[in-house]
Amino acid sequence: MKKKLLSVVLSTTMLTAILAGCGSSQTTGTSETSTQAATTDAATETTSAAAEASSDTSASAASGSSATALAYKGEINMMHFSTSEESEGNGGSDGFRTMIQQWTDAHPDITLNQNVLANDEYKTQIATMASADDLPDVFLLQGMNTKAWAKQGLILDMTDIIKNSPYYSEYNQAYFTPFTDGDKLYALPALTGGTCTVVIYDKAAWKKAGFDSFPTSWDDVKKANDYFTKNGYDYSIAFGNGGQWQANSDFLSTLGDRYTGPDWFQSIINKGGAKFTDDKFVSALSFMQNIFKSGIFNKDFNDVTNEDAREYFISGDAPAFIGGNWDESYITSTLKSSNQDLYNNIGFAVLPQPSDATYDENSQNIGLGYGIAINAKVASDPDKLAACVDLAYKLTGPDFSNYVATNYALGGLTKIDNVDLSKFSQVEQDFYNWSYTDTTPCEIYDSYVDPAVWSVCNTELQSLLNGEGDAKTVAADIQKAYEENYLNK
Amino acid sequence: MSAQTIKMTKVKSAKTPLQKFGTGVAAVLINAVLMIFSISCIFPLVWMFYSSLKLKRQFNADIIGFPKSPTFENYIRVLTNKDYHLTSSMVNSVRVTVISLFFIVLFGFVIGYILARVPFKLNRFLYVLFLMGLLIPVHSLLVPIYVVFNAAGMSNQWYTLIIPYVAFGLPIAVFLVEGFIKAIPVELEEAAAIDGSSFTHTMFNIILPVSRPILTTVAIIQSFSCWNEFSFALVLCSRNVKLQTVPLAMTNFKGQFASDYPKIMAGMLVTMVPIVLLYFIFSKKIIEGMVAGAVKG
Repeated sequence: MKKKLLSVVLSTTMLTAILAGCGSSQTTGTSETSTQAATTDAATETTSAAAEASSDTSASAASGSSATALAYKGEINMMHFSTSEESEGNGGSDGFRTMIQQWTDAHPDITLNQNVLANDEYKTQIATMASADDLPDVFLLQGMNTKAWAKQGLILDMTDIIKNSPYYSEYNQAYFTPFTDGDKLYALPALTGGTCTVVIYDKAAWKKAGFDSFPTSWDDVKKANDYFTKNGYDYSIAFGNGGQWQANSDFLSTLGDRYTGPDWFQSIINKGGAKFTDDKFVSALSFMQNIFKSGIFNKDFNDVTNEDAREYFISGDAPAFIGGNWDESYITSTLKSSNQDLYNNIGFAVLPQPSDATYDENSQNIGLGYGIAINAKVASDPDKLAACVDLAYKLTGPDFSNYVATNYALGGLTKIDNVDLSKFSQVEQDFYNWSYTDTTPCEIYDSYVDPAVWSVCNTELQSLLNGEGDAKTVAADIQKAYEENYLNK
Repeated sequence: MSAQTIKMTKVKSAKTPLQKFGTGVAAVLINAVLMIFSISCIFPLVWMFYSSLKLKRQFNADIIGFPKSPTFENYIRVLTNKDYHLTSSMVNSVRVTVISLFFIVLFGFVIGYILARVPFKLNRFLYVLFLMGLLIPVHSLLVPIYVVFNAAGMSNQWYTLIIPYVAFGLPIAVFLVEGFIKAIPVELEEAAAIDGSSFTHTMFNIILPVSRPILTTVAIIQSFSCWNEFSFALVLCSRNVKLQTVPLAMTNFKGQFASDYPKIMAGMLVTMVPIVLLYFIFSKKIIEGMVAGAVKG
């Protein structure tokens, strides 16, 4: 009997330990709903508090960050992904860390608890915290989460804070789009604006093929390809879509804009009636399938990543490469130290224009995918809110923009005049001008909508570029995912 | 006897030369296949080692090739950069793994023994419930567990990870131990009982030593699982960098758009040291356990 009792007690104790995990989902459901209701109420209340705090703060923040102006003394929890690794050679990340350091030095009474994770892990963790309504005080909000988290009352309405900012007139207004819901703004766009689609080419090689600059039409690229394949190259442009996202971020996003124009995508974001099955978007997909079939790209483009493909350009196997600003910085820094001739011949260009596309032929997708957001709960403590706002101004203001411009030839949210680029090489100056002045910005698709939509898009796109299926079916599948995960939510 | 001469006749092989040749070829082929298999197992480690001696650029340009100018720079950077906190992550991983293993093996043995030997009404029901633990996908529980731990103030503590690791390690431990103990003759315990051994004495002094092979198997499986676990470590412990475990610390080498693989490999090799040492210390027991246990290979 004693044995039986002992066995039952021990077994049930162990079982309880395991079931603690299973049973908790019920608890979560309850706590989520109750907290959501509470935060929604809180969010409405906080708008006025935030506005009040922002007008107080804007004055104090005018000098960047004034240590004496902040009444708050305590802790601020912050989460971001500018790891030490990330900041090596990444101007935006380095600038971000530098601004944080300057701000903490200027405010010794405030303890800034930083939770720094690599980007992938950051996204997982912040999503978990949002699900549990446990977001940090200040964090980096990814554009595509804005609408959902705003609806749940998780993030503070920063419209008044932003409009009362001492730097408001200097902000690049186009960068706010991913953080907008209706007429409300929920984050101050952070880090650096970098292109996601740039053609990097060897000017000398293309000159030999008869082009003084990179062709503006795909027909000319095909003509050049005939020359290249007869003169020691296997193809003309290196591209890597092994990670699936590259064909979307580094190609379709800009190409789509050429076919549909910016209004179509705005309508997709705002649920305004545009569909992925619209003829113009299907034409973009169809063109993409054909151009990748034409032989101008490396045959293994769907197997290798952008990191492999850019090596084809660096080693001289390809006279051009298509990628993002992260590839540009790697290519230029590598060539600067290893192949000065090729480095001096680097040129930058936008995607050539398809013959049947009717919109801006000079567009390239550029933007700030993350913004500084503040937890809606912070509004209940006006002093703390003022400190968080001050930090947000510092991280996105002129100090940051000056730092990244003068050290890395990059641009941030705040526009600065007369950037002195003289200390940079011609290639770096060319890229700065190409990115921020010589081209027309368009949206980065996957900064918006819902990740599930782009997951379907990226997978289907990879198959399409392999020659499987057709553009209409792919468009229908993306539309289905869009309706299920975004439109009808 | 002396007059008799014993003629030793040479026994001829029953195999014809052709058959001999066939056997030889088969032996070579089998050995070749086994060698290829062995190389395929060991190559990733060798590749990791020599790749860690390359710089990022050299690695990206030639992923498989040997380093032309080997350098230990990655190791120096990995060990000197305080942001990577590799040493503390190793200490955390060892602590969490050892404590979790102790409880998994202890609880797994006690529960497995009771379920195998003590008949009571809900015995089979409890056993099935434990087995159902194997079917729960960890990711579906991340958010609920995060909420519970936060509400209870148990997240970001030194003991935080031990709780889910023990809970999720128990089903497989109970399953293996229960099966093994059922195969042990009951007479052993009956003999002990006749000699006056109590229930707990029999369990820990008679059956536990006999069950050592299966407990070693459980320990091996669970030590890998605890050492490599990532999701709970990320969700429950990432707020305090001092509590990060090795898999989490490894993510510090990744950037948003690019990864420094040689540096990651250097970091992985450094952090493998404790687990490799552990293997060498207990290699004899581990091999015994692998051979005698229910799960082989």
